[in-house]
Amino acid sequence: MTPKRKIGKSDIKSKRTKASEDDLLSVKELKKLSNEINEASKFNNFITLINQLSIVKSRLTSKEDHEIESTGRNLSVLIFKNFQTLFKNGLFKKNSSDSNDQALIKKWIFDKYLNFKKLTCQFLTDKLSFDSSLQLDLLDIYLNLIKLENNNDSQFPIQTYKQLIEALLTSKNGEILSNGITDNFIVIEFIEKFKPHYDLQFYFFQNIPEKPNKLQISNFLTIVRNELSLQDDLNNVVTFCKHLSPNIYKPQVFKSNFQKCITTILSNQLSTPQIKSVLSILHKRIIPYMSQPQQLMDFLTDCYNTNEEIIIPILALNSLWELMKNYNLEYQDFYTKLYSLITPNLLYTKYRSRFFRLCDLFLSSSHLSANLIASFIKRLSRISLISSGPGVVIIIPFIYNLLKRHPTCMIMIHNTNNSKDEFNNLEKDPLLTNAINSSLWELNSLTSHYHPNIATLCKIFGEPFRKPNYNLEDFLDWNYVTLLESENSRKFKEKATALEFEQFDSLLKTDESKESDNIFLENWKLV
Amino acid sequence: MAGSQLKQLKAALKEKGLIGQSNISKKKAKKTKNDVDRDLKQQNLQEIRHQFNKFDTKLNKSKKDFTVIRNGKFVKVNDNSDNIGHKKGLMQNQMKSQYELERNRKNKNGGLIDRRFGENDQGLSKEEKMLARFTRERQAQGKKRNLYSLESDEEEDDDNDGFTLTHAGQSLSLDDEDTIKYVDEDQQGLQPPKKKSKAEVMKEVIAKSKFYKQQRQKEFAKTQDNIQDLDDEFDDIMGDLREAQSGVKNAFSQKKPEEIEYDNKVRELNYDRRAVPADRTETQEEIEKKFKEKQEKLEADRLRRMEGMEEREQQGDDLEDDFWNNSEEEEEVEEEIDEEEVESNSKVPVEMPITAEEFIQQMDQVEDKAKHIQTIINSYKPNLAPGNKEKMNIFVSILFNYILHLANNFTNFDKELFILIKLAESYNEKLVEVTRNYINELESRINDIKPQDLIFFSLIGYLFSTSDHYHLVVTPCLILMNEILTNIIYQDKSIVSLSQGVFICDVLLKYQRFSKRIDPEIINFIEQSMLLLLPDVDSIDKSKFLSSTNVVSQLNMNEEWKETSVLSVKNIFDGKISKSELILKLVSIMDECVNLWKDKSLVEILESFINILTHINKYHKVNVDKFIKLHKIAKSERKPLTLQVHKSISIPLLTPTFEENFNPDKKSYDINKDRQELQKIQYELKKEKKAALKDIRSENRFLAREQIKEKKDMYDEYHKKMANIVNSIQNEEGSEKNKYERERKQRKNKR
Repeated sequence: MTPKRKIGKSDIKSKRTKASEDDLLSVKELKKLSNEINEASKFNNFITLINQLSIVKSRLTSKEDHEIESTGRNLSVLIFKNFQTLFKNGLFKKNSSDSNDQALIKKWIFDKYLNFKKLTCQFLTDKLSFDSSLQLDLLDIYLNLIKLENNNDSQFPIQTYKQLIEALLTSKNGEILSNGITDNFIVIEFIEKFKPHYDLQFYFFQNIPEKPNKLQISNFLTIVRNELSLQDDLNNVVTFCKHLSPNIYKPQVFKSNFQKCITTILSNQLSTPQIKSVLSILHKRIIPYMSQPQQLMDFLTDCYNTNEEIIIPILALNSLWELMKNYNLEYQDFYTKLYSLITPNLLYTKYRSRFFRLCDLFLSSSHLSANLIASFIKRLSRISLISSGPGVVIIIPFIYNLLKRHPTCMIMIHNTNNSKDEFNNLEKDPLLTNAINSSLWELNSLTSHYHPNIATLCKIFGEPFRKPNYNLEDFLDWNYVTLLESENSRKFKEKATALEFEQFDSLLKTDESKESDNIFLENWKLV
Repeated sequence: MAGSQLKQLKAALKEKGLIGQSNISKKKAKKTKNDVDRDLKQQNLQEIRHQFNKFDTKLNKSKKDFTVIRNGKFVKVNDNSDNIGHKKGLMQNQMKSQYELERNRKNKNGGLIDRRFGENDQGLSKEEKMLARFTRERQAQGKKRNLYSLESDEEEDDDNDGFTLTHAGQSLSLDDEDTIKYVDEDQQGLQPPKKKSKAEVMKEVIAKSKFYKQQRQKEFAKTQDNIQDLDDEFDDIMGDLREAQSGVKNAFSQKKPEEIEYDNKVRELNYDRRAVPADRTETQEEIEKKFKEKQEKLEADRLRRMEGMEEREQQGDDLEDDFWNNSEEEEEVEEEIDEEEVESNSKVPVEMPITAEEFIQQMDQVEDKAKHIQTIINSYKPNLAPGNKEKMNIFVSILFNYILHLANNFTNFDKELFILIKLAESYNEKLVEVTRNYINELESRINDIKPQDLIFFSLIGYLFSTSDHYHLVVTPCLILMNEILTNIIYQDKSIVSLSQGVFICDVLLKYQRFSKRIDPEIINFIEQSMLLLLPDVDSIDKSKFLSSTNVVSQLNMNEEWKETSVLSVKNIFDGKISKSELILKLVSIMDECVNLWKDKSLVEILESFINILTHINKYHKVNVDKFIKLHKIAKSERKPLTLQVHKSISIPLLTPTFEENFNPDKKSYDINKDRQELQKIQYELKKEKKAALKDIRSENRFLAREQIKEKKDMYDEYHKKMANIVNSIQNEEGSEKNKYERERKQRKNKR
């Protein structure tokens, strides 16, 4: 091998002069260089090739050029293949029997290998002038390198993987969306690999940086949003690498890593959309994988007690319920807080169905006091006076179910005693609002709601309560668009298209119109 | 024969004097035969038993219900007494003879079966037998001829000639075996019914199928013949016809021109519409009254639709009201059109536009636009040419779009609108389709409201009946407008969008001017936009608000108060409507809301409004007193709800029903006719089944009895024979013994 090295050395100068000119070689030339490494062991060509790749990077950062991109893609594959053969030839294995020279060569090649990895990571982190498939190729190559290293060393290459995680988390290839996550295409591509492989997940949560910034958190959230493959039986779990230490198959270790990781993330100051994003995945994607979800209590309580935004407490409700149910957490004045969540804006938010689903659950116990239930009913009927159409659609069956479940509250729709309305809308404690002594006049006036179906639905309160209950799911997910769509499906019917018989003199007021004229919109004119 | 079986039995027994008071008078009692004659009593009992045992008598039910003369008397064939097949004794006899017949035939092959008619029938007299045999023979011959004789085809046709004698719709001809029924056949029932062997059945089936096939072929051949005949004669007929026509022509041509003219006149007059007595010229009062009635009817219809009740179907009576009027009007219209058509035809023909763009271009060049549209409509009236209706359908949608186009350019469109209204009734379906499509389109660009959209909403209220419970156009329109209102508040909070919202609120309230339905989004919009617009919002009492008070606003009023009663749509889009104008407009909308929803329970809404208005009052004078007064009234009128006042649901009764006119004869009190019929049949079936079972049992019993009897006879015979033999042997023995004794005595004596 020594003589070959000498040949390689003699070539260095000529190649270097070429590379220093920042010129891109053609694919043909690159192929030749690569072949020389394989056939003639001209390892010095690595310098040229890696240098070429960095040139590609600088070119692509400045300008969108698909030709350079395809050259880069070829080049990266060539380099990868070279390293692959070297791995096969055992040049990355330290051998005590190696001579000094051999050890030196191995060290030198390893150095080039590190350079290549570093460059790849830069590709992933930095934003090019366009979303290039070269970046995706390099991500793929990097993951394959991990596999090669794993085969070589028979252990998971934690350092290499850590570099990748850092590169990914700091990747600037996407925008932070309004819901706190990113649309980074490299991260999304990584998720494809990340989702099914347990070992990638395990080492991912072990190697999260200590102090993440906003971008890192967003990227992290994007990755964590997906389901993890941690399960009770880890024997059949799919892994990315073959040679893994038995240590990673302990769910407790995984969970404590995950826990640490989440705590780190949550201890940072999160933006409102990020909190919303975390909360919306917390109960399904995070709590099950934590070793001590109780530690989330403070975070959740803070969220639940926020007064600025109505959505955050609603979103926190799910996780809070999860903790209460499975980890025996107690939340003081839970119902008072729940009661305070019923605000006028509730029925205009996107998450109203989520809230009502849970609220139905919380109020399902028949052991709750009638005062409490009555307060909820009264508050709901009060806000129905200003609620959106789809909101009213939820409220009516919801109240019906409550009344059916708590017949003592029926007095709110049928009270023969002539008592006065003593409901206190400002009272915070649902036990003290005195709603039970009030009546649901608001709901009654909705029997003449503008939407025919809602008006008809509202009439159920005036009929005998024969139906056991309404299936709430049928009513939760309506919005204006779906209401309109259901109207669209109707067919033409002579009966339903009556014309106005009242005759107006004009539609809008004009300059010529007289006092006595019958005008449709008498307070508006066109110009 | 009334009452239950038990009652009938009692009655029958009493009639015979078998039960009941027997000690009325001893003398009388002694005289009764029953007491004396035990046999008679037994006999009577037997009779009664027979009478009540329905299973031993069989009725041959015949479908035919007619009367025959028998023994010089009219006898109804259907009469039960006449139709009783056999009584118990007869049955026994029959069974016995059958049994014996079978026993004789047992283990015997071959032999002769006497197929002669009535040979074994004792019930027939010789003459009757002969007659029957004769008819049979004739019949067989006839059949043969029908089926196979070759030469007799025509004959047969002559025979029948398409006519057959029928009775009650059934053929009386003797050809059809199924329908024959002889006088004797009823009596034949005495004979055991002959069981058909399989071969016989098969033969019958084959014969039948052959017969039908042949009939079909015959029919086919006949029609073929007919067609052939017609074809042959066709030329002749046509020739005749042609001749005849030319003859007619000749006849007419001979007429004089005056005559022809006269004929034409007559024909014309024939087709003329007959004069109808003209309606009396109505006085002004009458016209007014009529108009009022019509309005009232429309009003009533509208009310019904508002309640969401199904529209009354068109009834025959509806025609009467304006049957004449309508046709007259039509005529008038037609005349008008005719005139106009002449006019328009004399001018340049108007082109029917195909697309809205084309029409808009066309209209740019026209000066009197309304008149131009009118001419288009007049020259394409559906009754003028086929295909005009479709063209007009398209034109209605074009006109609709044209109006919106005008609105978008803030040009006055009232005249065009009047034309559209006139067309709306006839082209309702198309108009509805256009508006629904427009709603869909508008929904897809909900954040980009144009002037034409606002006008569109008001147009809908102008054209359609907005008070209906459900309306194909108005309901989606309502949803869409409320969606826009919500969007304005929660997404786009600019002066332009707020003033659009104010306009939409006004239109929404106009929609509800009659039905007075509540619209929560309007209240939300008013409160929210007040919070956005009012100066010094922090000093308002937020607790009175119904909607959320977490509103951060940069739109707060900080200018001079300015009041304009009439706002302009153009200014909305130019953003020229000042905040003070908007606030005051909102105040008037509040007033409108309160007026509309007076009879709804409004306490909370009024409280919120009063709160806002008192705040405005600090800066600009508005009328709060009315609201306060209304609030006072509403609060005093408010009573707890009593929604659950229902008739209590009845608990099902378990006591049996009491029949007013109970009659034990009546089998069922079922009102349902079908069910009753079914029960009847089921009952009959049950009875038949029982009878059949009884028959089978009695037959078995009879068989067993016969067999035992046979065996007994056999044993008796055997014993008798044996006894005879023993006897004869003993006799012989005795005589031999005697002989021996005698011999011995003799020998002894000799010794």
